[in-house]
Amino acid sequence: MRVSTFQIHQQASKQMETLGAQVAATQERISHGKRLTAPSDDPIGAARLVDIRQELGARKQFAENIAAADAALLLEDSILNQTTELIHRVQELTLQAGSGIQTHANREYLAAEIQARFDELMALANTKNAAGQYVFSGFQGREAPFEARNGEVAYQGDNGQRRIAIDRGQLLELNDAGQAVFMDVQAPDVRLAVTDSNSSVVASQIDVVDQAALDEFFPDDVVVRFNDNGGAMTYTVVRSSDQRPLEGLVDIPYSNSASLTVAGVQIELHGTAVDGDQLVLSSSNRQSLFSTVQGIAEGLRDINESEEPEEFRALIDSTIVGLNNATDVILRTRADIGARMNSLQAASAIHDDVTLQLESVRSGVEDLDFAAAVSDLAYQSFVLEAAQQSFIRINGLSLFQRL
Amino acid sequence: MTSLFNIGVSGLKAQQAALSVVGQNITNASTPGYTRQRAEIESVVGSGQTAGAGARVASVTRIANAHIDEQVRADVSLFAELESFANRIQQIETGLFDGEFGIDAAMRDFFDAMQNAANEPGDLSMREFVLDNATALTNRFQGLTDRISLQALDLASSMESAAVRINEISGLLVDINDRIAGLQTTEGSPALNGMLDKREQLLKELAQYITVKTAEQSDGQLNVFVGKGQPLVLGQESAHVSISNAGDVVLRPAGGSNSQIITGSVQGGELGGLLHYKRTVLEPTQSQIGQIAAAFTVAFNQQHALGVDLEGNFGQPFFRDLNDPELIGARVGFLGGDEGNSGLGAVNVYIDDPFVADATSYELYFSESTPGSYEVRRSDDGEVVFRGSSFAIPQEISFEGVRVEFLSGQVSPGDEYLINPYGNVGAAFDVVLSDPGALALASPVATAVDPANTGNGSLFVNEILDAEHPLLQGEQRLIPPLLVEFVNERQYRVLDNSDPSRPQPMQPDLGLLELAPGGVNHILPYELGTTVVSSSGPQVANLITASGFVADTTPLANGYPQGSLTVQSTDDNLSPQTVSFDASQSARQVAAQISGMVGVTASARTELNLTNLVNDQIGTPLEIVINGEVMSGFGTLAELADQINANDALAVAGIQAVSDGTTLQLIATQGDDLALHFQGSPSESVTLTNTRGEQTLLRGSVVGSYSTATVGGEISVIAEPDRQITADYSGVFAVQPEHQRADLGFDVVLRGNVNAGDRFSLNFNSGGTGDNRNALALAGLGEAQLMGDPQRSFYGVFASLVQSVGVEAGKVNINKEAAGVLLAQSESFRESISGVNLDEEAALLIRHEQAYNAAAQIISVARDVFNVLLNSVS
Repeated sequence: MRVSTFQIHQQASKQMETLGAQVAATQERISHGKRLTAPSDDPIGAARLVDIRQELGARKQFAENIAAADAALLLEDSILNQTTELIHRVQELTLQAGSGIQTHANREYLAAEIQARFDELMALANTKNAAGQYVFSGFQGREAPFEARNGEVAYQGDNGQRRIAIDRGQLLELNDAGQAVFMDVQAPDVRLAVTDSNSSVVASQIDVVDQAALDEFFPDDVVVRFNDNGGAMTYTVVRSSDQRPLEGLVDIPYSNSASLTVAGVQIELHGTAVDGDQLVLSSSNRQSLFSTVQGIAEGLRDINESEEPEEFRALIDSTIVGLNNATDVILRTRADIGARMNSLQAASAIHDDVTLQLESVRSGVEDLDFAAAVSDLAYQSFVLEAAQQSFIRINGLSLFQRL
Repeated sequence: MTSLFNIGVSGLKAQQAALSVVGQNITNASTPGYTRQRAEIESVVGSGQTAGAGARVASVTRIANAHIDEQVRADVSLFAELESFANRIQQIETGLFDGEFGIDAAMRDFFDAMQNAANEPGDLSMREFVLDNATALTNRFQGLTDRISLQALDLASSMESAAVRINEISGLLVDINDRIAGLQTTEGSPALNGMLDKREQLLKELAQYITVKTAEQSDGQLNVFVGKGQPLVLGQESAHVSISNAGDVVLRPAGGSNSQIITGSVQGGELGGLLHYKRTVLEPTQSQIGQIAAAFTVAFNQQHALGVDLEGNFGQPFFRDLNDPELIGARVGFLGGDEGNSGLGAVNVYIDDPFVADATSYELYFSESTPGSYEVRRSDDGEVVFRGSSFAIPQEISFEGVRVEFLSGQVSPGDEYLINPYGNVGAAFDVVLSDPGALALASPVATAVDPANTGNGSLFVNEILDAEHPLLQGEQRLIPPLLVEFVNERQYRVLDNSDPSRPQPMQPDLGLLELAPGGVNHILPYELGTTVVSSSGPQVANLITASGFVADTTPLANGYPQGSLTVQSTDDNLSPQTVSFDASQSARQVAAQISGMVGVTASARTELNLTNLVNDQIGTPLEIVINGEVMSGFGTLAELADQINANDALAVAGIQAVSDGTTLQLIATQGDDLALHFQGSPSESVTLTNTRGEQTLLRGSVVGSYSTATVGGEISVIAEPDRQITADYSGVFAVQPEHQRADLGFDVVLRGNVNAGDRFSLNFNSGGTGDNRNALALAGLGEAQLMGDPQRSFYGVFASLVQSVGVEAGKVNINKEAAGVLLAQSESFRESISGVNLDEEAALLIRHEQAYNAAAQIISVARDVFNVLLNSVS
């Protein structure tokens, strides 16, 4: 075939251009260490890479969540550990106070120490985490969960348990609501307490005078309603379940104080009532740890063992039972925390494994096989050199040089 | 003698001419577009007996092949098209697939920040971090869309320059046609050859911009056509090519008649490549990125609105509204038709549902033949998605989740418009929430377990479905707060807990609800569209009494007539279901029958009150017989209530009494009829009141004589969404009973076991700063499969966008290589025919030189011969 001189030049330079581009591309891959620098290098690989990166990111975030959960659970566990020790100390002090050889003055010292422990307990139960949120207040993170009101510690938080994703579809509780940990402790006996009120009337004293009657009344609640009966304030006491009046207490005149006995409980009411006021006193077989500790501290001060030996003994006994029950609740909570931490470890191990596998898949899709790339580069440069040399040779072949 | 002399001279001249052609070839060996020429030498025929008159150059032939030139042009067009496409797509594909800086990475960072905030929702710095990452995400989207818009601008200016050059070349071709026409020779003249080379060179350059077809006239002038045969150059006139504002290629034919849009028929060359790239890559990519941003905005804002912020307020919009007034008006462009008469005024394009269809732009065509009729087609696959027959402004049309509102202006038949819903979404993607405290990470509803519960069950708010539900419209409280009270391990009621000491039935009453055995226990009706229908016929709960006294305790019938109830579905695949009731069936039986149908559950309840018990404790012993169970020996209604509750048979039937001493409320929780028989002294009595306020006095007489009354129960039917209930008579149910909303706007799930008497309360989650439930839901959107069909996550849609652009880029790269090879082949084929080979020319040079020398020798010989002759004479 006839070949034009221009064609010889053009073909050779085109060829060298192509080879040069190949060498440059291979060189670029080597310098980046990536096989896949643009989606067109491997479109399916690129789409997979988006998925793999997403999966790797998700695993990384799960690992971060696990670390956060671990920190939160450790904090809670350490508070509960201190609380257990504190309960043990109060138990010791109670037993000490119960021993017959103590004088009333000594018992007052012991009471003072228990009071100090009580303050410590309040501080523990109102601990904040690093983010300034209360640990035991459920969702009410800004609200101190426990507050002393009228001599009783009330729970201000809620039942909320914050959960955290530690794997797809696996949520783990980060906290325990203070209600369950400190408040809902099995009581030695059923008690009655104000749980709801829209009135300024307060129950200044609630004393159990007939435990059996109260036990029978449980779990019903007592409702005291105030009515303006033609200018005269009266109150009616009913049980909550069917609104049936208790002890015939219907429309009893009220003038700023009343003393009544229902369901084996003597209740002293004080304060100004307006029409429509009501107090709900719930019976409960729960007693908060605070109330137990507070009760023994006050009892040791107020009850004289020699004058009221039975009452004193009952106080010591019920306190020991109450503290034991509180310890049980805390130990159960801690066991639960331990189980959750195990879940964290298990999930963490899975994430590590999967991440390792995904990394190797990712590397297979994205990273360069250096050995192959370097040998490609060597070969491509060899071909380029050969093309250059042959061009020089062919260029020398001209009839004009012979003229 | 002179003849020999002349022959020698003709040889000298011919060879000299041939040598100059060779010289021309040699000097132009590397001139682009040069076609080698050959001097054709022929012998000159002599006259008479002479040997001949020597040689002469007959013509200078241009050695070319028109077919090959055409092939070269076609290959140039193809290569230029693919090359311009490949160069553009390269920029986009690397922009999309940017590893740590791609939009997928930014989405990931954003959702990670959300999870971190979920871990510590009360922490303002975590919330701030979410906002920072959201801004980074929107910046990334804006960056990418800016890059695309920039490319679109660059593309437009490239198209402009191509059009300018095309016009220049067509002008030059007209010149050449003019000069060829003036030459009057058709071949063999070096002047013509030069002109043809020039023309070929221009055509080849033109082919780089656009595919052309040529046809040569008999006088040697060339006509050039583009697209589907639209003339660009016709003899000595040329058309004018321009690019419209909408990016269309407009051809104004020579002679200045009406312009035509030829965008659709332009093929090949840089212009074809750019148009093809714009249509298949640039615009779809922009739309799809816009759609991801749109779906992201809608999904996130919707979920955000279902949560509450640190202050307990429902979530405000987080990302800028897709249908912001500034955006909706800028989504329509004019495509074609009579430009002068176009008059679409205000046209707003709303994105109602960005999840439903794959993003594309749409073309709106107004029929030329049938005025008023129009259709909307997808730009990507041409599918018609909407057809209308009488367009009249104001007009609203909806298709594929897009709604277009034509507010003013007017249209003419033949008009074409481009509707591009997603084009401006990506660039407008923005965060509008600025206060980290306003991030709605908490759920509005809190659940609480009654500490007195004996079961270990607890309630979880699974999902908030409707933040607009009346229940959630209170300031920091539910209207009303709810109480869930279990009557046994399986059945429960949902009560209004506004007064915790006296929970009341809800309005509307959902009746006695039942846990579904196994599976997830959704405690409340939650599906939007769930309704409740109450029995409200005139016969319901009527007080049926016997006149005078009866001698036995057989219950009276409740007086309910026979009838039927039908459940219809708006879904055509389900046929209506009907149940028929016999006369005097108890509400419990009717409810059981209704519950046997699909899509509805019914419960029944019967209730009556007893008051004013007169018990003289003398004469005939006082007895009240309830459904055959005899109660006696009680003094007051309270004692009667205790006796009823202690009766096992009544307990099994679910019949309970509640008495506060003055009233006794008798309830059949399963909806059995309540039949009462009263025996006592004539002075003894009790008043019975039904739920409709009707009263009867049950009086005593003698032993064995009873006054009696029966009350039937009421029924609540909960119907799944889209079920319509009708009844064929108005005895128990109205013919068209009212469907009242039954869902409570949120879904609550029970976990664990419950015992009879267990209670759970549901309140507004005030102060729930530690609550992360909505944060978890928001973080969960990251992997939620929300977009398209089949449904994919944002990442999934993005991955397939990367893949499709990658496939396109890979394909065009390969095609470009192949086109490059084809072009090289056809060019080398042309070179092999028309190109100059220097060796060949050197050989010719020698040949013609020798011939020249030889011709010179002829003259020398002629002179010698002449001299010999002269000498011999002298």
